Amino acid sequence: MFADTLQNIIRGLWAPLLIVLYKFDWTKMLFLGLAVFVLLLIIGCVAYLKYKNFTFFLDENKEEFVIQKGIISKNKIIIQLEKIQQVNINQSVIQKIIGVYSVDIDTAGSQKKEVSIRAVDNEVALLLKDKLVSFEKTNDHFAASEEELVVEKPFLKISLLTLIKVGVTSNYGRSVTLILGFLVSLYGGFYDVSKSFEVDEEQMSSLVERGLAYFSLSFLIMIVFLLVLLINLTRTVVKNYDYQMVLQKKALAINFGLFAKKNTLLKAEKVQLTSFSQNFLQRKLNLFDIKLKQASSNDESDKDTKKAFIEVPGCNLSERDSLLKMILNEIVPSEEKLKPNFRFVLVSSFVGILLPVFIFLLLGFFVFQNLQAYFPVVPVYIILMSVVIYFKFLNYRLLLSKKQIIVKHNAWDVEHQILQPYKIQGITTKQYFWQKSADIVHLTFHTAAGDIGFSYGNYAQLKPWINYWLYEVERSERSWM
Amino acid sequence: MEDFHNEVVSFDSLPKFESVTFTPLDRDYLNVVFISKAITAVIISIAVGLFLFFNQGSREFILPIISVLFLFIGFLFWFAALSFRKKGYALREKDILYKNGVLATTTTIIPFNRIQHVALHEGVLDRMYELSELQIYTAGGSNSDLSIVGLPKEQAERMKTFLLNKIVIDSSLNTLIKESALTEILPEEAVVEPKSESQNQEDANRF
Repeated sequence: MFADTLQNIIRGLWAPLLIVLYKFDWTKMLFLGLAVFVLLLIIGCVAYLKYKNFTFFLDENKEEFVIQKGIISKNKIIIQLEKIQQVNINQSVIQKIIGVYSVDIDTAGSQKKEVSIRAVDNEVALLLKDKLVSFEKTNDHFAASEEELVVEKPFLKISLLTLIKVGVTSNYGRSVTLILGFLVSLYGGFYDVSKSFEVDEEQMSSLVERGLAYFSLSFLIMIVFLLVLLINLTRTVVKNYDYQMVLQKKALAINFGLFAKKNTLLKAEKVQLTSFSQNFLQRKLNLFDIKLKQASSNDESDKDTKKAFIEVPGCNLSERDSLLKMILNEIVPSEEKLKPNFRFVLVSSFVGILLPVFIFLLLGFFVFQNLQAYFPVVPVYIILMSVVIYFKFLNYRLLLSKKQIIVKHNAWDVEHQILQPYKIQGITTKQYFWQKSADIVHLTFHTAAGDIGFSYGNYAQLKPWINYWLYEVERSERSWM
Repeated sequence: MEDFHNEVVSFDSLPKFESVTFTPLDRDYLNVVFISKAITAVIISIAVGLFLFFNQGSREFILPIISVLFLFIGFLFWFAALSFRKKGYALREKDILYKNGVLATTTTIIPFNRIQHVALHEGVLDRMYELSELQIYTAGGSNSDLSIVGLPKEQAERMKTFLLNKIVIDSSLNTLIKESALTEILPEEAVVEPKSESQNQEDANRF
């Protein structure tokens, strides 16, 4: 608790602290020491009061979890047990040293985690987890049919080898942007340093340029590639080390992490959107990446969407199927396969190839003459983008059956997004007036875990399906969460 | 579980959403739109006038500037009228449809049993013509929230009550939905019929 408050306060005060440190004349050492001491004392008091005023208890009769907190303004949070979506038990490095866990309780309601209990010991954490998620209503009529799911052995376990495979084969995009950002900031930093030391700028930048020239381009690319692999590998392994998934009554318990341990519990029926993806390399290795998305009030654009999805980084075909079966109850073959209209290709080649190339050439010819040196890149870009668009079109499919809607998309990481019709919140169709004659429609499914869409579909083919989905949603008494 | 049916559904026999006739918005709403556009036009004209007044050099181009301004204002009104005509809603037995959009016709369909809560909104201009805006919220994020503009106030109230009743009736079948709906309805009513501050606070605390 103390560390936590300290962290919070430092987070709030770091800017003024920096200024103080920067402008400090070292004659007032004593003063500083005193200030730090007083600050620590205040933090200690606040932490102690916070600790004293933080209580939580489980009301089993009312089926509520009650938390009281606050020093001056008191806060009382009541959560109905059946509304809980997910319980996370995390352990950061500091918490590992002290031997405590933090418990986060998550409902669909607001943006951030609803409740976070920062330090509980192992026993309490496990007890809480067990009570909170495994809770079942006594009059639950679904219980009987799902009784067979009560197994306590690991349902899925990801070995180190698999993690290494995953690390090597996935997330190139993210790592490349990471490295690019790093390089840019490095270059910027270098530039700043050379500037602030008042080195002769001309000399310096010519040195840099020559240095870059010496690094032949291919060598640079290789280094970047290796870096990407390495970063991917370490990140995947560290984050997902010892990944385990256990079935507990109706809930899935997931454990992972090398340094910071994460332990998540979620109820299978609260998963709104399931997706699995696989790229070319992963297909060769029989690896899948599964994401389970839950209800969140965040919009897709928010950066905090990560909160409500759970990733299974690497599993094979049979593990994938049993996991999907557990979440979706059954796997049904698709009855109808819809292709996007050919205009999909036209529009994406216009936006992806024609427009950027045109702008580039225009800039090269009329604005920045020295861009012309890079003109040989253009045909390479065109070929690359054509291949990407071709595969995008090839993979962009809507696979339909009575029980499932599957959107298959992406060129490299081919993703299948699976949605059950009764989890639809609303449907939007969109048609530009010039698309009326071609009978094209853009379809969007709104779900509690965000939107998924299928563009350039054939309206005539989709109409009966839309009617069917509406019928399915409107007659179903199954709760979507 | 005993009364569970799963009969075969023939797609042709399902009600067709595409053949629904949409109710256009209230005529008065067009006036509201025009007034708000007129205000915008006046503001833009004043801005252009000030620019012409203070910037001596620009006076040479006074004719093209003025004509562009008029064209723009004309376009504004034309577009507003067009978009008014493109808007429409339809209530079916179990869902609500809303369409809008000039360049693209967007139709959104929300089943009643997925509505989380309903709200009424009245702007200043709306109140002059006794119109309101009906806002329908779902759990599907802001993209799937509907707001139907330009409804006569009485009708909007009736629709609101109708939708709220739908939510409650549905929920008697399903306790889970009931609770989530109740959570939403109660603070909602607190807004519609203003209670004392402390009571509002109590409601907020309870949910």
